[in-house]
Amino acid sequence: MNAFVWKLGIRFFAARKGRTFFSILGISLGILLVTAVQIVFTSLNQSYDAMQRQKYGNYDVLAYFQTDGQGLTNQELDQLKDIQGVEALQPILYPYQNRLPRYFSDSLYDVGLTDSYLSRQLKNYDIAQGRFPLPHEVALSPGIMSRHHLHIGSAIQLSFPHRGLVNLTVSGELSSDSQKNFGIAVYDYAWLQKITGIKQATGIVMKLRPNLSENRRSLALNTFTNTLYRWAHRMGRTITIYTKGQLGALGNATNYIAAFLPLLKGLSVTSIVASIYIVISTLQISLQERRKEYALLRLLGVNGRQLTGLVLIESLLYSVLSTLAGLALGIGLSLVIKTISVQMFHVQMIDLIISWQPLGWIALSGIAVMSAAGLIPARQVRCLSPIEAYRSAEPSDDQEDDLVSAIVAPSLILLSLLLVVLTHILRFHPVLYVVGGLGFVVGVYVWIPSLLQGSAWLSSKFLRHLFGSQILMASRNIVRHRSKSALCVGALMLTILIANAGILLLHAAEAAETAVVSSNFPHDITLNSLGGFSPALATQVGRLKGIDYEEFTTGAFAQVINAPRKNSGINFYSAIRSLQGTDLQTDKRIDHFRVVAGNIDSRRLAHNGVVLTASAANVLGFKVGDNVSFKNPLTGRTTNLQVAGIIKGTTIPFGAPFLYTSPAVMARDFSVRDLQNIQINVTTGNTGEVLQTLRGLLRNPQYQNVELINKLNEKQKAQEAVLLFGIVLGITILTITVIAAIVLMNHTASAVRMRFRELATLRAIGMTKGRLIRLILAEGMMISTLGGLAGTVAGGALAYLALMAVGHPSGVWLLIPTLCGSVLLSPLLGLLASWSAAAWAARQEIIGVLSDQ
Amino acid sequence: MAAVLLADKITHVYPSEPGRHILRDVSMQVEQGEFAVIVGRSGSGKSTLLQVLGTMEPLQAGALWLCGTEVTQLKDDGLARFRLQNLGFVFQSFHLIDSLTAVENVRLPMELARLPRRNALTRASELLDLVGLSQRSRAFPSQLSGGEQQRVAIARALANRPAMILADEPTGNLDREAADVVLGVFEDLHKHQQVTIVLVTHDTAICDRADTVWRMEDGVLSLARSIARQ
Amino acid sequence: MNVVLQAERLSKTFQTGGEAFHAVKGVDLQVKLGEFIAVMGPSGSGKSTLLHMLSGLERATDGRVTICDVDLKNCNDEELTRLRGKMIGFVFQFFNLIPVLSAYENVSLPMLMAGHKESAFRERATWLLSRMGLADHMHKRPKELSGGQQQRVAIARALLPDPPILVADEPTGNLDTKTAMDVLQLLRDACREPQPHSLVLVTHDPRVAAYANRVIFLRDGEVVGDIGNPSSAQADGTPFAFGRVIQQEWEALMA
Repeated sequence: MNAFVWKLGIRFFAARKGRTFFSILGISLGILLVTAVQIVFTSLNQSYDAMQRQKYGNYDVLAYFQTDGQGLTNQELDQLKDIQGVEALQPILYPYQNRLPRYFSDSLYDVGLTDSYLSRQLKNYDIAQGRFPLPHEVALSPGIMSRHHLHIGSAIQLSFPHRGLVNLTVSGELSSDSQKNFGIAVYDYAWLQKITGIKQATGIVMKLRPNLSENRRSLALNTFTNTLYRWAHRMGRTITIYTKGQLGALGNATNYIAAFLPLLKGLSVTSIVASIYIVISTLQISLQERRKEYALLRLLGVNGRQLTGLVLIESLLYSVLSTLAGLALGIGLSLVIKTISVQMFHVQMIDLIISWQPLGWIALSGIAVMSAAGLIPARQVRCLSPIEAYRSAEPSDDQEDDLVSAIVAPSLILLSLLLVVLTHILRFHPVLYVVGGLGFVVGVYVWIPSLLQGSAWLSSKFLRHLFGSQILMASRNIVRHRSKSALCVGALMLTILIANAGILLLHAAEAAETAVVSSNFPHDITLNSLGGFSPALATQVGRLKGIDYEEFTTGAFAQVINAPRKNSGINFYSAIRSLQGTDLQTDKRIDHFRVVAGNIDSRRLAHNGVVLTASAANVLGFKVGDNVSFKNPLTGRTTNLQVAGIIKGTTIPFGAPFLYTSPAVMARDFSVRDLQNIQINVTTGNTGEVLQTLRGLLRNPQYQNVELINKLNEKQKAQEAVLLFGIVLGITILTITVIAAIVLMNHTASAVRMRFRELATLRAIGMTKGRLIRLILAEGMMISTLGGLAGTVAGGALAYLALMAVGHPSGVWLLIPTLCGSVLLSPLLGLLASWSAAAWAARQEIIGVLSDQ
Repeated sequence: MAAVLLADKITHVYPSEPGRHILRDVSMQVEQGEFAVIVGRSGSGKSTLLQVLGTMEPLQAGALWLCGTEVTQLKDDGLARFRLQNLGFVFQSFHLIDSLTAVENVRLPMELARLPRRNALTRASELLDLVGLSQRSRAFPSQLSGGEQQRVAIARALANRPAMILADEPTGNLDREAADVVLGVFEDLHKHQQVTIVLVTHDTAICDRADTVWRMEDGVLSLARSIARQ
Repeated sequence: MNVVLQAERLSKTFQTGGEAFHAVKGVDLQVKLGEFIAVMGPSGSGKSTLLHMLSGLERATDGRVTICDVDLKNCNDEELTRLRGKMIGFVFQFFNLIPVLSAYENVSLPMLMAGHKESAFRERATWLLSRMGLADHMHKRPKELSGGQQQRVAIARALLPDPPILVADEPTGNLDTKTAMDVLQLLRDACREPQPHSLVLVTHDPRVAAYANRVIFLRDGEVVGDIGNPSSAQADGTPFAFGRVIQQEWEALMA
């Protein structure tokens, strides 16, 4: 492209400084929002991960045998390591399970660990001072150290069964007393093996490869844990397996927030659309104003390609500058959001992570799309005939478009309404409500030019008497330039639609979060572990005063041996070992399900009955009345249960057990004694004290895998997430409103400049500046009011229909404030947006213009 | 008879070319009911003079009385109101409001002056009748010929019964026929309605219809002929 | 001398609403290289429309326009654009210049857009601007120049590519007497030196038309008169004599 074309393009661009600045600002808002959302949520996700790792240790599985007996051989350890997805595996030795602690007046709990990264992730054995023990060395808990006046380097003697006293040197001190009654002694694994004569590992810690997809991760975890279970039951031992994913699954506000991410991405994409809108409107306006110049260029011999090039140069400049501004402002906004979230809402976010690759993509695609948007106005320029250089009258809008608007639009609206009515009466699929709603919105949008004409008529008849000629002139002018006015009206409509949608989403999100919390935590406090824990904990809990509690047993590893379908998928494997004992009629953890076949009567279950979830029934191939044979690997016995019923559930928490029988059967036939869950309701006691006591109980390393979930805490975290979403939503709506205002501002500024002569004439024949200002304000206000009304009607209708589709039509009352606000505030927006144009017009000198041709 | 217009030693320069005087010590006087024509070539300064006399261009030096008021005392909105009540303008390019019909254009000054609606309507129809356009009262300017537009402009200028009509090359954009009709309207207004008219043109033929002819040459105004003062 | 511009039975009809308006009716015209022709007529006589058709800005409804043996009817829009760039220089009454460019840049514009290198014409452009008396104003923007100065920039621009035909539509309508005379003299000189150009100028002012070799009178779209300047052999001298002749002819025709 000719260098001179570039020079001219840049000069054109730079000619209208004030308005160019505002346009760039407006366009940048879309990029700003996308950038901010991208940064904030990447940072949140990374923070969450980092915190998880920090709090719970950077590993994925911790497993140990709870009963004495054979351990895992090196060969078996290697087999485990070979499972796909496993990055590292380290053995642990607990030499004396369930033995009474000995030595000192305090008790001491021995652990043998390898000096490895993984071992260091185990928080209970974290060595804070000194170093990891070598052979003949030991690291001790701080309590033990202080009570026996030990320091690093002290020499002590400890006694080991079958060995007697052994001389040791203290090499390090653990970081905390992770439990009250016991001290912990950490030794080198290999050395401890020699000393105790136990050659096999009694526990392992494992970490998966970090960048696995969700599916692969699940697969790896399942394979791993299933292998361990198999081996454990072969050996006749119980094994506790703790997978880190479960702990803290709902323990953080950021997790709730992560659920909103797709919605927020959708919102920010909408802002990009608004930005493109404003690029096109800005370019069209600048082309209109430079009509004569472009025609002159045509006349002088500039060809169509060069003219298009001029337009594209301008759109390129707008898009590059706006994108850069948007990125910079977006980074700034992220900082603001971070500060607000951290200080006001205590969301844990460590640092903002600004990764240049995704931002680079945002920038490049933003520039590309917005530059390309210039092609639309560029086409109009090519069609300019050189005679335009002579003409002084501006072209008015086509009559042809009116036909489309006048015929297509009402038809579309009527059809949509018809669809809605039919859906209601004939009970079609509820999604058709939404389809009708969308059709209605599109119809209103296409109808705007006709509505503008209608408003002209209206004002000529009625408002005239109140406001005088001004309103007549204003409305006629709007009609003369319907397509440009329509653009402004459309922008406002879009704003209100998004505002309504956003608010509905916000309320839906709030309701959903509350529901999730309530259904997942029907009780005040939950002690939970999927791996299971000793019933002794329940006994201890039972001693607390002022509470009610219920205990629930773990599942059993009960192999289904007569499944009609043979399949080795994950679900299959899970199904054949997920037998759970519970009273379905009263178990509040399993909520919101419906019985699709048979029944779930507890007495039926107690008499060798079993209930399957629909997916288990599908996967295994059973139906009501079938006989399911289970084999207990511990005893070798076979138990037959009959399928009593099949259920389909919407919230089945924590790993989805698939088969349910009564606790009595579990205890009788499968020797299940371990607990999975204790639900506690605080009745007369003090919640704080109860929590404190419970936390104390959980410091026993035996209950290391038990998580305490406090419902109030969860509720609060859920609400924090909703608030954060609300903030981002608010910012989005504000952004898009500003963009709509800028579109209107550009429109009035351009309209005033193009009608300069007419305005001068009015001043000449005696119109005061004040009235002139009111004329221009009237135009802006009429456009914005129409936009507000159209948006309110369309937005309200769509929202209502969407609510009907999901079955909560009464929810529309939530929107009443927004809808009323839109109608009332839209004239104000028009006032503000046209103010500068009006002021400019009033400032101009009259003469000179009037004698020009 | 009272002087509707009294200009005393008006001097004017363009701000961008301070050396060049557009108007040099221009003095003139127009009596009530007089039809005065200012003749000059293009670029002689006659249009600038009309703009100054019409208070659209602020006075740089000299004094100007219109209808007994010294207009230099008035500013902005005051001037606008003064123009509204006392002056009527007819421009070379008609300058009608495109979004209003003929009758609405004529009514516009009356509405600006807050005349009651019924009165405005009546008077507007009368005025359009006067210029021979009652059949076209609902037409928009884009639907009218040049001559018709100019006649609507004249009707508009008369709306608030101004003391004086100022016309800047009113026939400049018209063909011979239309120009004749328009000039005829002016003559009619002068003879039968006793309207005071100050008309600026380069067409010497118009002079025949006027009472007083002033000549404008390179910023200097001189009296060429005056029937009233003979 | 050869004919650079020829019009045969040239007509233009506009359709407004349901009515047809015949702006130009069957005009025949021949312009030789070096001739300065003025087309005179009152408002609405069709002179501007005729000019548009002669310079390829508007397409004729009927008849033919040939520029240097190229029939405009055979050209599409892009070809017309190129033709204008090479063969025709324009000067109008208002709005000649691009406001965001300096005087020098305005002058260079058509040639730069056509792909010529600046180094090829810089000397000529500077010479032209000096010839117009604008040596000190080359880098000023149009709004910093007076009306007359702007017109002279436009003339320099029109002359730079050395087109055979110059076209001017009331070029002095906006100027005071003295400036107008200067501009017209420049235009007349431009027709002759260093290369001959033809100039077709449209005006309603007889004193302007007096500078031409030939004056064609147009009324209601038709040619009603064609007179040559008796003193056209004389290059210099004020054209008052011819002016009076024109004036008389004009009044006779308009009566």
